[in-house]
Amino acid sequence: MSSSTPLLAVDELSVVFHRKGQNPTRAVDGVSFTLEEGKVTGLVGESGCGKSVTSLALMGLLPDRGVKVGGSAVMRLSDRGEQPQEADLLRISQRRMRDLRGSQLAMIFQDPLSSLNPVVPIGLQVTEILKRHRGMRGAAARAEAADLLYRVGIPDPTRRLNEYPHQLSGGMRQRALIAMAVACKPRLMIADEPTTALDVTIQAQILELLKDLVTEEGTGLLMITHDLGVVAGLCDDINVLYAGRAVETAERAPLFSDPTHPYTVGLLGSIPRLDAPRGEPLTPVRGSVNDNIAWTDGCAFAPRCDHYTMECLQGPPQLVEVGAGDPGHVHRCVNPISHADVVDRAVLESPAVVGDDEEERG
Amino acid sequence: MLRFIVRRLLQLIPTLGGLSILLFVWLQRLPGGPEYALLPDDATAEQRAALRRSLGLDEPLAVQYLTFLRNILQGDLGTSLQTSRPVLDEFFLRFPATFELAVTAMIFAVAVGLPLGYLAARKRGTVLDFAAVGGSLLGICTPVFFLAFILKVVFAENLGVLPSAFRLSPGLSRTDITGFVVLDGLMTREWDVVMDALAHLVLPGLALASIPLAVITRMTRASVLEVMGEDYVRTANAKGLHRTTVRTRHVLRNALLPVVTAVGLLAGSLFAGAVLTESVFAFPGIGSFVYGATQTRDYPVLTGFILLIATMYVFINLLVDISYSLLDPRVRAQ
Amino acid sequence: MPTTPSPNPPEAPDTAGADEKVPFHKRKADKVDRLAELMGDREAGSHGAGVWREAFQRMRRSPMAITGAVIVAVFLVIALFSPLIATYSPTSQAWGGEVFPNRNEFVGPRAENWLGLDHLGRDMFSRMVIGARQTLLVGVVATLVGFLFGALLGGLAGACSVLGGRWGRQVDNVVMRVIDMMLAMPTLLLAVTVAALVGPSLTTVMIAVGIAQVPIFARLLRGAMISQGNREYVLAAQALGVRKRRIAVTHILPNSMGPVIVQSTLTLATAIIDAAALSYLGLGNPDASYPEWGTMLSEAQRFLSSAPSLAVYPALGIIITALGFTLLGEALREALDPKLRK
Repeated sequence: MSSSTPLLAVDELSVVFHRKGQNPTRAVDGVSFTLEEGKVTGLVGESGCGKSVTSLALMGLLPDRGVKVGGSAVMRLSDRGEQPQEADLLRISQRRMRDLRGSQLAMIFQDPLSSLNPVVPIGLQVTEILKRHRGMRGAAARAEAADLLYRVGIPDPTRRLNEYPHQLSGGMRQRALIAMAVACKPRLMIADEPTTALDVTIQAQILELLKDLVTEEGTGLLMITHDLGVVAGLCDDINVLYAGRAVETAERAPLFSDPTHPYTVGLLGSIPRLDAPRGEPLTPVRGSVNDNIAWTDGCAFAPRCDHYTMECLQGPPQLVEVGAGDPGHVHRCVNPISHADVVDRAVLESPAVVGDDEEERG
Repeated sequence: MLRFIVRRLLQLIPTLGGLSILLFVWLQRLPGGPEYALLPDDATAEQRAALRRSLGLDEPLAVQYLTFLRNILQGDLGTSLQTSRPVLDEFFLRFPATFELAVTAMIFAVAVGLPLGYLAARKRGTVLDFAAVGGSLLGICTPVFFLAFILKVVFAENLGVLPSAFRLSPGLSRTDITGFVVLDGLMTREWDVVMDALAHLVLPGLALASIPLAVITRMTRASVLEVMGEDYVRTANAKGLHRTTVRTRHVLRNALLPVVTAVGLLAGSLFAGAVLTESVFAFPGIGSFVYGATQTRDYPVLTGFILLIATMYVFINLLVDISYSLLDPRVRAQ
Repeated sequence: MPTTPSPNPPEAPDTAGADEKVPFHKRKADKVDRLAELMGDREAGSHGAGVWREAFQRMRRSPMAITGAVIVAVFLVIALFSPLIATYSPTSQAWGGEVFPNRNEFVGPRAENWLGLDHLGRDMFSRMVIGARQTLLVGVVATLVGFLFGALLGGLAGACSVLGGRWGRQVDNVVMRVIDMMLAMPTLLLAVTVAALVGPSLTTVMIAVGIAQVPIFARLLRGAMISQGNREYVLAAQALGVRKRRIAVTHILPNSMGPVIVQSTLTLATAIIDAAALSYLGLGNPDASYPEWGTMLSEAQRFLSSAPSLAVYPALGIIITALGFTLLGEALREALDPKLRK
């Protein structure tokens, strides 16, 4: 908010999985972004684009063996009133990381049921973090745990302390997980698809809760999602990821009004809209995330792109500024959809033309 | 909880009832009927007829079954052909020896198998893991009686460090209170008896432990590996908890649930497994008596012991279920 | 989105740059070729493999599966072609004059008898080779007995439970009680009693060991069928009006066979071990002259301290064969486990 250095600065983060007898997989391939206090940064993309791996890498939760993490992720820490200091989350020792996790940075996971220990009461799962990072014990810890549950909107929290995860509803479970995440007032919170497993009405409640936490506590939130609705309602800055690289980065307003990368355009085009004329077909992004080529050969999105040219297949495209008048809006595309083309897009994707295209391929 | 136990107890009735019918039919199917088994081969037809009458074999089958059932419920399982003593008495006379042996084996199996399986899972892919998995596969594939013989030849006969037969060294005097040698020795403070009895338990205990040990090692390893990949373990790590907390509260507590079930079932099977081990070490328990019964075709002993061991097994199962429901809140809720 | 018909043909975005001189259709073909080329090296036959084929692919990479398969293959070759491999008759006591068990005089491996002689002066190598055949027979028949009766009971219970409605669940309940009862009877004691009842013979051993496996097979198949029965495709088949018997036989059953087949492989191992135990208890073939590894092992126990090799050969045979089947079964289980698939 006030400081010149951001809360979290991720630079050229890369994660490579080495499996026995197989070629190494680059799950994350040079992702950079920043996150400010009290702001929400979104990582958007289909499953398999590397967004969850990014979050696990930041939390130091990737498996020890068979994984190589590169780049840096510098986080500004508050050491309880002392001088603010910085730490590269990818380089610090495991012991130090354990001290930071839960206290300075916390994470909320996708599936609340499987993310809670089924044989340990909710109360203990909350108090154990209070004991670990805030040194609270016994009745004081229980009182604080009940208070936390109350604050995230769980009614009758004292009774809930003795209950087990399977006795709570899906929304309650996610609230309990959020309570654990905010127990030590972390400066940075990572939410990995926190609403995917929930009913739509509950989703809205949980998002509202997260929003309040960000505005009230000044926490920086890294929101990982495939849901552009969530992004539109919550995020300040958005990074669209594809096959392990950011393909478009912008603030919320420009991204939704002037998307330039065909993939972003495709994602937006695949959302049903109430204001679209009746009978207008949805335009899904065809193919799947597995239909890609190596970034070193060209644009990984090319196989699914309606606009790719020979240029797209000659070497890796660079991340470039979209243009003047839109600072901070960058994309990785040699053949972007310019604002004027958006009109043409409808023509390009009309069935007749696509059919024509198919014929020429065959 | 109480309702759960009562319901489970009620479920036992058809199981045990069915078992009694099965054994009854079994007895009927004896070659030539029970009177052939009970009488010498050269018995006359009159003798057979008299025996049939005295045994109630001329009654309708249903009546016979009810008599059979009544006898069982009154604790009358017939008389051993070898010793001419009631089968039930023979069972309880030998029960303490086998119980001590089974407990020894289970202590070996759990004390070694649990830590070994856990370490193998933690050090997956290392030499230790390979040795643990390979060793347990080898343990499962080695015939118990062969292992028992090897142990006996190596440690008792060649090295002479441990006794090879019986529960106690001959000539050792002891006070008998409960029939459990070790327990009696502890109660009367006859330490020499305790030590001697324990020494006699080592080799048969090891042999009997081989299969449970292998099974527990493998189950623990598989279970720990599975739980280590669970989302809630990741959550626990994300909370920054100490490694020990994660490992005990979040990994082990969940990983041990299936192992508890396995331990219970294995404990039940030990009484049957004792047949082989006890006969090799001339250990005077249920197993060697059953071995004798197979050699002499002592049908009342065989059927009676099967009924008793199966009943025991069923009750051990019940205990396992109850302890499982105490450990797992999800089951308790149902 | 309002559409304004545009005069631009679809290739409009491409028109700038160095490509200008190349005709349009040529450029399009080039870029498609280039794309196919770039994508080509990434996917090599990863599509369209069924569960079993996929499992087979995985097993080919697993050292456990390969070891098990090699052991089993060698064992099968020896067992099936044993009369051709054996150098002498397994029952001939041709060298009886050279062996004196009561004086601890045995004959070890030598040029004419590769594994030495047994306590009656018979050729150990030939007895081992012929014994392999008997052991295989015991294992296979016992497993078949367990598999057939177990699958029958379990399949009945599973099908009734999934498709039989209220009445079916009652049938399932009764069958399960019977299975529970059988499970409560200790395997070995059950086998011992069967054997004691019918009299000692190799057939007895096979039936006894097989019967003891029935409840395990039954429970496995029933469990798998019930879990399959809860899948959507069964519901879909029901909704389409497919007859229940047909659903059970053509949909549920084939999809439930995985665990049962794994168990069969593992049971081959247990059957061989259990059969050895029954032989040791004196319930096997009373005619010990015809070799079977279990009988050979129990006979040789007497000479364990003076001539350990007599026991070690059949013991190793049993252990290695059982290990082979176990490794193969475990590898198959791992390969079929959806949780471990990746």
